[in-house]
Amino acid sequence: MDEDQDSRGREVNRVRRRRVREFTGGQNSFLDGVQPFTQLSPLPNLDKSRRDAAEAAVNWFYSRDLSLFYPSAPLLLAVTLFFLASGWGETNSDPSTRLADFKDALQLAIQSEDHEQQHLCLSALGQIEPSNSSYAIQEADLYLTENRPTKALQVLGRYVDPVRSGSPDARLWLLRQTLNNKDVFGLTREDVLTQLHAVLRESRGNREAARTLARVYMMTREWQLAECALQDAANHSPDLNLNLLKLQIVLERPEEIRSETARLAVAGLEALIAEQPHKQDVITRLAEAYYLNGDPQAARDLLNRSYQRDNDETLARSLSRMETMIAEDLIKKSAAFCDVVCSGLLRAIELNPRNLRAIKALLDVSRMNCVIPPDRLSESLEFYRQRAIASDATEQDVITVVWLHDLRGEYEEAADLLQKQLETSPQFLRYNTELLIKAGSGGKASLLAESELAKIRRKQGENPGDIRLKRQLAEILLSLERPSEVIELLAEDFSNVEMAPTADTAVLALYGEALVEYFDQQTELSGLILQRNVAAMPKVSDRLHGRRLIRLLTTAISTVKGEARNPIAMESIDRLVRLVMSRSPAADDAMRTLNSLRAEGSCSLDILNTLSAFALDLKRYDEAVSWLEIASHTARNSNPGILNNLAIALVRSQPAKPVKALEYANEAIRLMPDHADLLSTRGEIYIALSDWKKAEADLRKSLALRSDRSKVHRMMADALRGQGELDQARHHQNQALKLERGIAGQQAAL
Amino acid sequence: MSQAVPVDAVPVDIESKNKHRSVLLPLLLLAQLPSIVWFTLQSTANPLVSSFPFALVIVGWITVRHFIQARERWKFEHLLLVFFNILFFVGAMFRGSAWLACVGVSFSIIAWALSRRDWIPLRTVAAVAVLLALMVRLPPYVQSAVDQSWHSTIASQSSAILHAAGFLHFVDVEGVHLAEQVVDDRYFRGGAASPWVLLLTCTGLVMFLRRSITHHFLLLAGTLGIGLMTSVGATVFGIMMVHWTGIDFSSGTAGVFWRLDWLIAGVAMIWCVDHIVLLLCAPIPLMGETVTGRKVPLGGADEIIRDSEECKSGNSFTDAWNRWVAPLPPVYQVSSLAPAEVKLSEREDSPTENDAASTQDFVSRTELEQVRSAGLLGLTSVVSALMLIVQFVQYFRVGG
Repeated sequence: MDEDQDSRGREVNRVRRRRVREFTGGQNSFLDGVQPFTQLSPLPNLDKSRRDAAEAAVNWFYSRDLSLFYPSAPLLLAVTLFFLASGWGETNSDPSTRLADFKDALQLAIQSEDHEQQHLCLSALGQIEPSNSSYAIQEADLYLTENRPTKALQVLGRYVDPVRSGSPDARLWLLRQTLNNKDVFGLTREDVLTQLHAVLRESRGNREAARTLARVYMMTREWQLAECALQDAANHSPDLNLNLLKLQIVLERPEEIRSETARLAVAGLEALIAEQPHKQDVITRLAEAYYLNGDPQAARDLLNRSYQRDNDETLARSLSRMETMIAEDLIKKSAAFCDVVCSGLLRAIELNPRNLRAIKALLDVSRMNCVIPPDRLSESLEFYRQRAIASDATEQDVITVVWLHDLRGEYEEAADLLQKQLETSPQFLRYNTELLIKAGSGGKASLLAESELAKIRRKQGENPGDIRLKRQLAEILLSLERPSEVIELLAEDFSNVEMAPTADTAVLALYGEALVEYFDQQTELSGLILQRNVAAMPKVSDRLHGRRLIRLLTTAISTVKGEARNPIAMESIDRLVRLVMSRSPAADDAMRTLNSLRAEGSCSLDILNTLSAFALDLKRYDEAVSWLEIASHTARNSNPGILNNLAIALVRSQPAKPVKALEYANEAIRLMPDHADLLSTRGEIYIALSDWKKAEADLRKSLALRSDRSKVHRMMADALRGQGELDQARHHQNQALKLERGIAGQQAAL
Repeated sequence: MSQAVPVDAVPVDIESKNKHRSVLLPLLLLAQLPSIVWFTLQSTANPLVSSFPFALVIVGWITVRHFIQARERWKFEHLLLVFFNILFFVGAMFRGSAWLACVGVSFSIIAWALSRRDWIPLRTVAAVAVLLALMVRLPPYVQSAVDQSWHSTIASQSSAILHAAGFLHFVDVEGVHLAEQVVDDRYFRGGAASPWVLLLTCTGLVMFLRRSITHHFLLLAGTLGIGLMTSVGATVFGIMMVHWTGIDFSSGTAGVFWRLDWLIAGVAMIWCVDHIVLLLCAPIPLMGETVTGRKVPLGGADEIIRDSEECKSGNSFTDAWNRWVAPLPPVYQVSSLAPAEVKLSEREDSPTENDAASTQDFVSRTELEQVRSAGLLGLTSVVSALMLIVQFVQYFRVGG
């Protein structure tokens, strides 16, 4: 065994020696002669494992084939390029740079109307700023212009999600489009309500959403929900109390609730206008709030000031509307205001020639014998004449032209125009007859009416129960001034008006009208009351006759069920007052009837006004004072017309009471400042008090507002004469004479 | 020192009896083929793995050719893997998940590869496991998130470069929006140009070139980087081409050639990375001890590795390096992908003494196995038939 080992050891030594020789290339080295068993490790002091590690590391290092590195050159190039490109991209495309680039590109695309580029830019901008919904809205708008509503909805998708949070602006845009053009997105009412609730959830008290929600509820007559929606919104935006107030008026909420809302609306809008004094929308709304808060003068002043300052068409329209509403209110209060109302309505039409409401109101007022200067309606007539000949003209446009001709006294033109409409609209037959009569073509009117009458009688024979035919028949008979036949025709239906509460109101009114006209025929008043003619008094043979006639008038009043300011009621009262003023045998019975009607309360103020107006016109000032004092008390001293008339009556009565009159005049002017009539009244009182300077000031103001009244010029002449300014006094005297001649000429023409 | 079991040592009669056992697992795998097909079909919708059906065939063929000549030897852990396969299959059928079934299939394939461990190097088995992992990937919902993250990373990088270059565009789920059109940018970098295909190619190369596991993982990391670069490059240049030429390289024949070009570029870069890794992982030559105690190289690395026992260096570090880090010399011939020669003496794969003992035990238990194998074949056939029926019912319902 040992021998084997020795021989093996020798063999190993031999091999090792050979390998050393090979390693040194046969050259001698410092290793030659070294005993192979001797351990000459280069790391003699290390243990085996460390020595192995060191050896492995050294061998690893020296055995690397560096030629393997050459193929990595293209890879290194590619990696370098990649990192350079990435770094360049990161540096030059941060969100702010992208945003600016896309905004610039969008502007260019809008200028060049490149829709594709606009879509690209808007989508990209929306992606960079996902919280900003304006880009999506802009893009949806663009899609709508391209008639692609589905894409528009898709673009808005995430902003109008009904469940998750979105953008109130985008939702409101969607709702606006839906409500303005219902079928564009196919949203149901439930979808609309969901979106509105989402907007109110995301933006509490959102004005537009609240208003739209209320509008939607109002469309479905869910009034309480609409009121709640507006109430919520008004808590956040006090100016929305105006919208709430309008709804409360419609819903007839108690007065105290409405006045509180009106007060809040005024406060809210005043705060708003302090911030935005030139915003027309706010100005108009504040004026509306003033008006609904019972302060129409403040509303008019605000609109006047703003209009004079900005000279804006929208404000002109608002002011025109306000003038119309004030005029309508005034005429409801008293017929004595008809001049004031006329002046207001004329101004409304001048401010906005297309103000149809004002034209219609003026037509009503004109029947109260007001003088309307034709030239003030020229602009409006021209406007509607153009509308009437346009291809899309409506019947209303033509009728408006007829009204304007009527108002201007151009009856022939009006009748000619209206006659063309009769085929399609036979209801204007009576109006046409009236126009023809006014134009002096009574014969033609009668022929026309008779012809129509024959036609309708034939039809009625075929169908006797047709109420529509009966109504037409009654209208034609009235136009032919045959009221007795109308009474006979309708008597079977309305023999007892109280028993026919469900009767057709239009036919009932015709019955009332026929009764009044029959009264006029019986008392020889027909044709005398075209203008306000206080001298025209009814002729009554005896008391019994008088009682029969009074019964006609009370029946006429009952046909309109005591409705205040109704023309039939007003005409009936007018006839009763004339009976009283005529001092005929029926005067006492007429007075009793008037007292009885006053006691019922419905027409009390109208009766007092009419009585006082007649008393004033007949220069029975003491009588007028007594009626006016009662009227003023009834109106709680808040009716400037009554106060003005009372002041006139007091200053003109014998003995005159100018000091007391001045108190009433001041109160009237406080309630309605800058009114020509009220100012001229006060001027007259100052003349009575010999306070020439104050008289001159008021009268000058009055003339500045309305210069076509001869009486005011005369008073001005007196005031100036009182101050010794004779030249100027003469000038006003001449002006008065000129105007009186003009009026006389007009009357002669009529 | 253990000795390898020579091939000739296995008795012929045992081999013939073992044939029954050899068909058991292929039968089980074939029975699960519908799940594999179903999962593959599902994957085609994803641009990143839409080329997998082709890759699957190629890689499967390479794997089978690689393993088919080696004999199998079954142990308990291999059967455990088969049991897992059945378990996953049952779970998959309950959940209706083709992915889960494929995970189960991969267990069986690994078991099949491991059963040839005596004749096949561990690195090859590991490469097969990596291939399977790449094929099966992660659970669908996780995979989807990973894919999404990958796409957003690439889109962000390429978008930044494009914007810096002055291309007005934006990216969303539909793809890249240019003023003139919308391009699905995922197809610029999907299909054959997908990083998954690059990873598969990388693993295939590793298998082919017999690189070590360490080398393999380093190369996979490098390939991932290459995937990032090629994806960004393909997207940026693809969009530029659309803008300049109007040709959409994301679809159609142009798209196929575009992606193949980028695959070639990617493979070229993988080859570069392989060489860099090879520079680091090349074997350390064995050193003989001189009479003075100094070590000298005994010869070329390949020679040393082949001559395992005689050329053990005695240095544990060097031996460990050469065993776990260094590549084995290639054994494939250019003309064939099948191994030209399989050495049982390779160091890392030499069967241990225990293995030898097991082999002897196996031989001694042959009689018993003969009896059992016939019954097992029947059982496997029944199980396979059941599996097929269940799958058709499941996928027909799911598909319908």
